[in-house]
Amino acid sequence: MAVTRLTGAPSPARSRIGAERGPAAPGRRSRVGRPRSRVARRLRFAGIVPFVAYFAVFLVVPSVSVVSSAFETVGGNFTWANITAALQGTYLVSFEKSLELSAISAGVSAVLGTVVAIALASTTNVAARRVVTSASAVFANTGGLPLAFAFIASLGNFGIVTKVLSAMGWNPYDHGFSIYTITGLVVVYCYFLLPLMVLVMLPAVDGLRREWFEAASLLGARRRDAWRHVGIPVLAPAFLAALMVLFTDAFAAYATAAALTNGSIPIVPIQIGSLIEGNVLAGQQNVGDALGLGMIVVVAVAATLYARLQHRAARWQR
Amino acid sequence: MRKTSGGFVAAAVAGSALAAATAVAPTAGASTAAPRASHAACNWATVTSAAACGGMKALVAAAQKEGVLNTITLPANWANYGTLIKEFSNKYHIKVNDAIPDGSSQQELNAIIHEKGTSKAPDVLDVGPAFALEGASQGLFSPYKVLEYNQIPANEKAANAAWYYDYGGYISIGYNASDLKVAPTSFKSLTNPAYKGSIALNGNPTQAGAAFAAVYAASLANGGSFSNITPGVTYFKKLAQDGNFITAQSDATTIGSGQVKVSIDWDYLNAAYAAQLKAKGIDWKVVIPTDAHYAAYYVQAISKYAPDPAAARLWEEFLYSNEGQNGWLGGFARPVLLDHMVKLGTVDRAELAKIPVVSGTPSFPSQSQQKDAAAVLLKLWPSV
Amino acid sequence: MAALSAPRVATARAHPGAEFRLGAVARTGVLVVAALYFLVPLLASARYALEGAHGSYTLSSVTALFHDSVLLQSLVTSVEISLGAAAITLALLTPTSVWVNLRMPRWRRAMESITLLPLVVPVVVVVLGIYGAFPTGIVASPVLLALEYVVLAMPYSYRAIDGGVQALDLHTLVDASRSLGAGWAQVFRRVLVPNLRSSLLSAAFITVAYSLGEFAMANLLSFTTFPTELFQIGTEQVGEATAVSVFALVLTFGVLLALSLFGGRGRRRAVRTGLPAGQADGVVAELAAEVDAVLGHADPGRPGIVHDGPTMR
Repeated sequence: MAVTRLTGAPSPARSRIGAERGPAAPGRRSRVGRPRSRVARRLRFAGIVPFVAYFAVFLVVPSVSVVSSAFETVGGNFTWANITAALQGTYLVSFEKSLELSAISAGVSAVLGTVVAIALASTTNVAARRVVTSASAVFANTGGLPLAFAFIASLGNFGIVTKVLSAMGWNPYDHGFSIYTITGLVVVYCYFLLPLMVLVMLPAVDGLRREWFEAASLLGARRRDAWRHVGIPVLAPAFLAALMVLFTDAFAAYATAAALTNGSIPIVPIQIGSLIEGNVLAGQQNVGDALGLGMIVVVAVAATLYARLQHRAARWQR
Repeated sequence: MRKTSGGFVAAAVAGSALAAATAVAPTAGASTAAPRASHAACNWATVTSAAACGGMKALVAAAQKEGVLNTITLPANWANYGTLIKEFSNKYHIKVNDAIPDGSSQQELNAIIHEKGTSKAPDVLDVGPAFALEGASQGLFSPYKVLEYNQIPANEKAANAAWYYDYGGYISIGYNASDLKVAPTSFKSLTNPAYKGSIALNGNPTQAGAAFAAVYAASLANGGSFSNITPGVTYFKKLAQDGNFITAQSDATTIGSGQVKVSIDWDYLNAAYAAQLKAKGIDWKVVIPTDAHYAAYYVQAISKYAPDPAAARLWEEFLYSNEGQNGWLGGFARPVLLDHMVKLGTVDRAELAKIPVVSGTPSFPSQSQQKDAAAVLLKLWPSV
Repeated sequence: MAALSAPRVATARAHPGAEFRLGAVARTGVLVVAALYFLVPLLASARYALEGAHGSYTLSSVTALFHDSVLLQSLVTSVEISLGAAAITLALLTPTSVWVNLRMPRWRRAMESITLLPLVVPVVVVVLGIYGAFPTGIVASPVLLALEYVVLAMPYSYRAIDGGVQALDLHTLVDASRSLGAGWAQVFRRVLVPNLRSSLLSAAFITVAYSLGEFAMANLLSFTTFPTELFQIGTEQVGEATAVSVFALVLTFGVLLALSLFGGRGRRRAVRTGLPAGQADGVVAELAAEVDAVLGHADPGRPGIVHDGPTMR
């Protein structure tokens, strides 16, 4: 986000650092910060040393520890055993379930969230916008046991919504629905993923210029075509980028699923939690690290895709 | 105070027997510490009995000097620990810090290892038997014999006094008698469609001891054994398919709101809900299933790296005194010295009457059996 | 302009469906359904929290909270941790952002990506790494939480600070003050910080909010903080924890709404100070969007920001 300002006025007398002669042309950045000599160029990095050191100690070191332990036996020798163990049996199933749950809940929330964002962008009522935006900020950060209980109390076997629906003659539990399945988890995950989507898509939808649609209609397009050729291509990168964000969030989510399923639907964060908190089987101590490595890989792929798409999306919002 | 002269004399006898055995200055329970017992030179971190270092009086003095006791994973409503901690704290003016009340036995062992050398490290542990064996094999415990040590049955303590059983209970069925028309009596009875959507466990069986025990008990009721936990998993799988078993966590909130109507849990935990639930208008009852008597004791141990070793030892003395044992009884758990106290008449009869009677002596799975069962469960539980 | 508008109006009348906005019926319908989805579970929780025996309603669950000394102690601990994290965040990231924008402008994009890295590593994995790599002394101290929260909240807090720094005419300000003889400390204290006040406040709020709500790491590392204690109460006490959660949610929403309404007036003030209105609105909206314990890491005003904050997830 380069910020070049037209100051309009001639710049003040040159400082002692820096080299430019005469007044800087309007729009040119001053050269105060840009060292020319080699030594000075190296020294340029000196200022971020504290940051780099802090970051290295508190994030890089733990991550590297996990990655390296994933390839080590308890005694410290190199082994593939942890990785192979992590890709078999229950652990493989847990990766599958995690990916399934994350993909479905992210997809559903993405679509519904975009619809809500469009509805919100369509309204001219500023108060409504403020209310919904504030509410989204709050709901985007709910989760865990309170959220699990809120849904058990509403959509559980004896929940209030279930009771109302049964009174109307259609009990969802008689038709195969249960809040304790992947479907149920998706419904619960939407509670914090959908607001996230709304918050991320709102700027993008706001960026849809009315003039584009009017231009399209001038050229003879109907609403459907306008969307197909203008709206969707413009929104697509932002949508996909947001989708990646939702996916990452859902994939790493732990407490909500733990509270609702108590291990009967294995997902990777819960497996890791078991290995930290539960009974550790002999010789399998480092399998948790291998699982952690797997999580990093999945999330890293999603984050890279996000970065690429965000770059494209930003173009349309200037 | 539940002490009667009988118990006191017994303690005195035990104390002097210990003293004789260790050939240190004699005491008569309450200590008249011999002047030569130099407390200053006494390292409470390695002392194996109170008598060896000047008796109870010296122990109390040393503990009060430390002033703090670090406990771990002791929820207030678990076997009356809340009351026990308060009583201990008030009696000896020692501050008790309880870390991660909802933690697991594994986390207790982790804490000893990861917090070694810090003042936050736990002093005393209350873990499941398998973890006690694990911790002892890793050398994490400091042996200690409480005054009543000899009254603990031989198969309920370590040979070298590294750990000792404290209280136990049976897996039970707690149920909401206000909402349920049919009262459950056994694991078999829980397959009744009347319990659709109502049955839950206290946690994840691959992580939590109570849930693990529930699955073990279910396997005993369905033709399994200590070496074979698979029938238990199959039982819950069927129960889930019928829609009776739900994977919510049974706790105060889910039970109190009526979302969970049947909880398979330790009897002392189920019983502890009853008073609170009555205030909410729920009549909560507890029964031991007729088709499976699965009992387990929890285990006390003192950490080898305890930052407050004297306070740790005083806590153990407190727990195994009549006060402590009856305190657990008040929490609906069966203290390990129960038979002994009944014989001596030091037991609190009123509290004892509230505990469901179970005939026969329980047997316990061995460590290897438990380890194998845990491995099987880790593989099979996700299919439930 | 007039010539252009005439055909525009005519066209709009000819093709009314070319508008991308949803019609009144559709958008009300969508928003109502969404509102139901979000409010019903909340009401179900609230109803349970307030229920007394035999169908009456009572606030006893809520009042019991204030007598719970362990809970209050854990709240104090959490507040201390969050304030510590906020202080470290500001002290570490402000000079960094200024330096990068001043001396390493080509690295701006790279820095933005680097500060997003904490989102790539799930919290559970960081905890595993802490056990493996850190010495026991520090693992046992709550200070560790504050230190880690700085890194975990960095994607949001760095954005807040960096956005403010980039919105300044940094070179002019620094040039001017340096040429007038100010040392770097003075430049910071008297020129930069006052101009960055709302970004810094925003970043501090984000960090505090993140720390007060963070559950996974505190729980796995066996610390007693406000969220973990709340969780503990929920398993033991009938109704108390639910009451707190609902109460916190409602309170947070109220504060956010109030701030966003207040933020509207902030826009006018910002125009007078010379900041472009859009920028000020964004900054204030940022401020409005980050407050309190159960809070969202949302940034409605800026495009393409990653929103991912599993705290109590």
